[in-house]
Amino acid sequence: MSTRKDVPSGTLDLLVLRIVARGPIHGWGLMKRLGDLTDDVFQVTPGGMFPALQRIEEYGWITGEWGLSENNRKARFYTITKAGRRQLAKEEDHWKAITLAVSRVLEGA
Amino acid sequence: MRHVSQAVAMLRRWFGGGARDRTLHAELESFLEHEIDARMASGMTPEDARRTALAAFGGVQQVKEQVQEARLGAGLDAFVRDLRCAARTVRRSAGLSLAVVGSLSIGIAVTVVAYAFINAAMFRDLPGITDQERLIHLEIRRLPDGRPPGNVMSAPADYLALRSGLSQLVTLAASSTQLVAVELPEPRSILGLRVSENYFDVLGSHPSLGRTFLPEEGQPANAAVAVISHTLWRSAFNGDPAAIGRPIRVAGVVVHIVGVTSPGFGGAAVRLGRQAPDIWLPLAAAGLASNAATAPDPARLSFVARLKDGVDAAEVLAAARVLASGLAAAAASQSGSASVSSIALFRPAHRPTTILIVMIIPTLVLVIACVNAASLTLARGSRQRREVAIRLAIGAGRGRVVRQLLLESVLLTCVAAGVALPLAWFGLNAAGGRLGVSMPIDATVLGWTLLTAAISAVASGLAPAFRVTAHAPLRALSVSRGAIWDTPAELRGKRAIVVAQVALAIGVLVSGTQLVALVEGQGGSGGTPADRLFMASFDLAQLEFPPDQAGAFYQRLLDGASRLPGTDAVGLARRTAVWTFGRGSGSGSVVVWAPGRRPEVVNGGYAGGDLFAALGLGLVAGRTFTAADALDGPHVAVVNRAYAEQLPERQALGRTIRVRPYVQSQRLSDEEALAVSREVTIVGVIESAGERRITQDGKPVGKIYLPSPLGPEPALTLYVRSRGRAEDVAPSVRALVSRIEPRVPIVEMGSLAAYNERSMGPEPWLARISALLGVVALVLAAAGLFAVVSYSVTQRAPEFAIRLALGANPLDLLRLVVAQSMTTVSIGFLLGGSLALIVRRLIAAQFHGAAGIDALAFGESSALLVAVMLLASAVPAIRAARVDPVANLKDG
Repeated sequence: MSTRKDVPSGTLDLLVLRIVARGPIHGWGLMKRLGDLTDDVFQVTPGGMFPALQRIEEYGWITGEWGLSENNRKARFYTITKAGRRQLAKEEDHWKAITLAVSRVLEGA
Repeated sequence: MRHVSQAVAMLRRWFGGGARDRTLHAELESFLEHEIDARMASGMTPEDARRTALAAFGGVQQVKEQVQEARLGAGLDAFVRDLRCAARTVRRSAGLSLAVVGSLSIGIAVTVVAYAFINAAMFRDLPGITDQERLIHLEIRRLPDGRPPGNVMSAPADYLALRSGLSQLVTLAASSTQLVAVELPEPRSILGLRVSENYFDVLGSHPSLGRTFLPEEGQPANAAVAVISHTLWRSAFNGDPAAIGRPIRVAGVVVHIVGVTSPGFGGAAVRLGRQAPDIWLPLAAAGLASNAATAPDPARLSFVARLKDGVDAAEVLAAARVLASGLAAAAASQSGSASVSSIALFRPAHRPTTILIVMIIPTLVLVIACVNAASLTLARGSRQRREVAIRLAIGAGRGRVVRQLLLESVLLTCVAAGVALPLAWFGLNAAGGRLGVSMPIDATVLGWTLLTAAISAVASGLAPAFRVTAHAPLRALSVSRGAIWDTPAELRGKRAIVVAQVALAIGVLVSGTQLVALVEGQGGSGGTPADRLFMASFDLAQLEFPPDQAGAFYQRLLDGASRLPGTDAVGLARRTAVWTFGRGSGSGSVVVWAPGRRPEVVNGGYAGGDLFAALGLGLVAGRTFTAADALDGPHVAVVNRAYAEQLPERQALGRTIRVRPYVQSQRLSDEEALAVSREVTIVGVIESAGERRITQDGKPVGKIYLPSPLGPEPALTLYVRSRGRAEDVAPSVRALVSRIEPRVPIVEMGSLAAYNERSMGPEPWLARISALLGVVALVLAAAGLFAVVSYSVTQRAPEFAIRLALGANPLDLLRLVVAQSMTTVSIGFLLGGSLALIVRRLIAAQFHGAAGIDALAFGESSALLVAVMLLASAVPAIRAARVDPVANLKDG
């Protein structure tokens, strides 16, 4: 599938934070949601996502809690923390600034 | 903020790593189940769903590893993994690892000992002394003819003049060393220091118990007090605090113990190899009449002073010179001089040189140890080379592989340091007692040790690590092994190092055993074995016995000792009458006029009881003394063979000679001398007792013995030939003495062997250290040979395989390898043997009467070397003989 792309480096944290910020979600759901939201453009494997989740959790931006998923299975649900929201805001601003700058260059060229 | 949370996360992970891994596992399981559920929902069969989900997932273990690497402080995890891996490799090649650890631990231990010595001797204050840098020794001299050396001014008046005359000093203290008789309660003779009452204050020394001297204790009326050493307090009072205030008898006078010095305190005159004092008494203490037999220079005071702040030694020196000239001029029109020196063991100006000298051999040993360790590591690394090549081929960075190999060296060095420190500690404890200086392993020494270990680890690990990883994996995996190994030149270099090590080992070993033989040959010996001759020395002068009482004491001692069970023969003589025990010829006892010879001082003198039988010295001609000879002063004499041979025509028997007692510092005119002399006839000649001195001509010294004393003899030694071990006689002699006269201390007692050992000071000990260093060098050389042979055996495995395939006997291979290494060893052996010969020539040139190369010692050393070297080459050679031809030919 030529339409599928790797997540641009450094943006996975932003995307994960954004999705988790909408409500508690488990790993599998997160990966599905990422595919749905980007029309499967971004290809994230478990080998890419779990390390990111681990890292973000260690920074204290999200926390994990065991619970039951919609199909009645045990799953670890992630929730965003206060620090996570601050970080999300920061990264969103950062991202917007960059894309704005890039698109200006592209339009102007 | 982020750093804090990172730190917290890291801590959490260290302490809860297992739980987190379990959580991760469960989470991945849950993920997979959700994936399978989703696939089944889209119509797959459960089996298909599971299979495809797993395939898409890409392996649970891999994901886990990716997560672990993403964790904070993942570098640390990698480090721990590398460490585990290194530990595994080290364990797998246990023999080589052991050799590396052995080699390095010896190298490190030797350097630690050197560091501790340098640290203790140069950079730490002497034990119990504060601010040593401000302390000086001061000496003033009177120059009768205006030129040095002159005579030392050390009278109490000189002390008072110095103390009041030098404004540059905070204080000045005086001290004088002598042996004192104490009763604790059993009589003993110990080294004492009579000091001015301010001595401890000058040194800034605080007692560990009680107090030091008070100003009023400088007055004779208040001076019946003593401070004892920590060592004496522990040994004689079992460390009992109640020792303070206890009365003891010192030279017959009751004094009270007022304090115990701090541990290790030995005063300001600490010198290497010199015994430390055990008791301090005020200079003003009465009843401490000193005696020429126990204190070589009893009246001499030494001065130690503390400089005022801002004053340097040069200013004090200038002032002291003026003062000395004034003092000298006051007595007669003479000039004076002064000298000032640091109280440190080594003068600051000498320190760099001393450090250099002390560090040469340890550094050499360490370098050899590192070279050995490096070749051993290389030998091990070349076995790992394929493994390393595979790791490189599948994408491991070279840096990572080098790091891991280096880590192995660090690990081995840590183990080596762990072995070396206790080793050094034992060595230092043993040496400290002998040298009279405690050499602790303190933070400074520990720091240097760590630095040394780190350098050793890098030095022995870096080169092999780069070499092992140096070749492209493709070559290492495909090309014939021989192509990437050492060039012949490199192999020759390695063998040259082994040759040098073997040469050094045999050279040091032979020279060391020579030195031991030489020093032991210096000890006194007679017909009686040194471990069966018991000696006990007395000095009644300290107790101020009248001469007749002293004579009676010795007579009763002689009679009593002859009746003791287990004794063969008992005699009495001066301590230096038979052997000088290193006191030199200056302590002679009789002035002799013999026909054809000038008046001379000869050692010997009174020989009471059965002295010659006790010593085991046989009669050569004539007779020994009879009871009748002892009556009415001496009129006959017995000389030893050495003396007899000096007489005209070597004829001693029947000759008449004149003798008089020799008193040091006594000048007599010829008439006076003749008046106190008497004529004796030589009636017997005995064998000469052995006592080679490296500082004298090797020939035995002439001795002359008389049946009764020429004058008062307050200090005599009892010689007992025992049937069993000499030491077994000690308790009954002690009991006998306390029966006769409880106040009399035994100045020194023990077997002749023990006397010999004590009299030689640090010499035998240093000789033994050289021999020990020889063993160290031997062990290192063995490790070096082992390394080179192991390496070359691994390298030549394909060659051996071909030989075996062509029908060679494994024994032939063994012989081949061993023969080759023995060639290397023989070259080193020849070089080292020559080295030993040169050293021996040097010794012989320096010291008369030095023993020739002791064939037995040389043979023993050589046999030991050959045996160790055979073993070191046989172990890898056996491996060579076990080469599997098929596997090796396929590899090649």
